[in-house]
Formats: sequence, C-alpha cells, structure tokens
Amino acid sequence: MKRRSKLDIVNDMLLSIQEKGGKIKPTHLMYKANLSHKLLKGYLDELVAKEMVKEVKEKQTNYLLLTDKGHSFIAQFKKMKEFQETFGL
Amino acid sequence: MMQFLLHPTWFYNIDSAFEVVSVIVTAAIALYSLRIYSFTKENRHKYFGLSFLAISIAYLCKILTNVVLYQKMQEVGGIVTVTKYALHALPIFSIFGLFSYRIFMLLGLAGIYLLLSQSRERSHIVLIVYFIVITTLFSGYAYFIFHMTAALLLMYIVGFYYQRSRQGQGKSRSLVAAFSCILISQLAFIFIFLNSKLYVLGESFQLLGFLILLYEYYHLVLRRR
Repeated sequence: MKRRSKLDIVNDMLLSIQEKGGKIKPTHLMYKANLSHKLLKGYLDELVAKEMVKEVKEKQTNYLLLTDKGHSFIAQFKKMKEFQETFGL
Repeated sequence: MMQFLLHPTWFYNIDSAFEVVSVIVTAAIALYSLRIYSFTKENRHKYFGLSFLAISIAYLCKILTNVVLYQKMQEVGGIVTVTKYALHALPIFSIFGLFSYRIFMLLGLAGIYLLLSQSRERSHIVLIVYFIVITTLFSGYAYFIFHMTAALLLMYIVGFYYQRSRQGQGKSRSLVAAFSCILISQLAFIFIFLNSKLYVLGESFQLLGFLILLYEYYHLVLRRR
C-alpha cells in the first residue's frame, strides 16, 4: 500500500470531518483518518493553528469543526489531485 | 546560409496571434503545476511546470522573432531565402530568437517525455539534452530536423496518454486529442518546403491542440463546482 503524504493525511482528516457534517469527535476522527493518538494530536495542532479546524466544547464533550478554510483546502486539494491524475503525474 | 521558412504573406502576424494562445495555455499549466509544487514539494510537479514554462518561453521567442523577421523577409519560390540585404540587416536578436524557440521547445517536450517515461537515469537525461543541443544547432541548416525531433517526442507523449485512455485512467482522451493536434502540426511543418499552405495547416492544428488543452485546464482548475 502506498504511503500517504502529509497532505494526503491532512486531506483525509478534513474529509472525515466533512463527511460527518462538518463536526466530529476527536476519537472518531482518529479512527476514520486511521491515525495514532500521537500523530492525530500533531496534525490537529497544525490544523487548528492554520484555522482549518476549530475546537469547541458542547455538553462536556470536545468536538472538531471544519472551517471555511478547511472546506477550501478540500476543494483545492481535489483539483490538484485531478490535475495530477489527468496529466499522469 | 541559414534558411527561413516561407509563411504565406497573408498569414503574417495571424500565426503570432495563434501562438499567443499557446503562450497563455502553457504558462497557465506551468504556473498551476508550480503552485502544486509549492504545496506538495514533489519534484515531478516542479519539473512538469518547468517543462511547460520552457514551451511557453519558446513560443514567446517565436512570436518576437517572427514580428522582427516579417519586416525583413522577401518571398522567393517555395522557401524564403533572406536576401543579402536582409541577411545583413537581420538583427542577431532574430537568430537568437529562432534558436531560443527551438531549444526551449525541445527542452520542454523532452522534460514532459522524461517525466512520463519516469526515467531517473542521469546519463539518460544528459544524453537527451546533448541531442537537443545538437538538433537545435543543425536545425539552423536543415529546419526540418527540429520539427522531426519535436514530432518524435510528441509521438511518445501521445502514445503515453493513449495507453492511459485505453486503461481508463484519468481523462486522457482530451490530452490524446490535444497532443495529437500538436503532433500533426509538427508533421505539417516538416513538409513546408513542398507547399507553404502546410504552414497554415500546421498553425491551425497547433491552435486547435492548445485550445483543447485550454478547455481541459478550464475544466480542471478554473471551473467552480
């Protein structure tokens, strides 16, 4: 199986949140994006810092929300992949 | 004496207008590929972008050269020969422009060929660059060597996308069509000495090829979904 690049992992994480309607629990994200706890934390810190994901607390439960920037990243990444695929790169 | 090709007089500057489209399309693909490189840091995107940038620069050189040459040329028979007066008056700029067009074009096409063939052999790359330089130098005396080499590289590129389209990978059909048109244009340019109308045919096919690439680029990058 091909090793995922950093961008592939970020995209998988954001897609996982999008598929859940833009809101997900961190544990669910860990399973859906197929990441270890340590890796998830590292990537999440970066995504929050870049404002692609927002952390919120509702009724004692932590959730991750996909921001507009996150949605925009997914769209741009999809275009890049299609370009790459079309030109056979 | 260096030979310059006959372009029908009524087509002067129309070809340059056609090639402006080539410059825009190749530059757009190059910039988008380099943008992807800035995100991914994957070298294949960088080299793909640089290859298209080389083709873009090549067409830019050709446009500038033609604009100068058209003012200096006189038509004689099937091939345009530059008269003594014109040859002396011909700015060095034009000769450099013509060589620049050829070397950038071949480097760009070879870059795409090397990327698609996934050749990582340094000796292979050095050999190809060597042959490109030799081809460019000799094409000053026999222009068709340049078009034959360009056609050969394009044949491989078309073959690659044709195989992919048969395997159902990507949206390669439009790329097969686009690069086939550009290939036909290069084949037409080889035989210009037989009939100058082949230049018009070649330029038209070249324009069509780049318009198909532009459509694909628009579909992939610009269209909002």
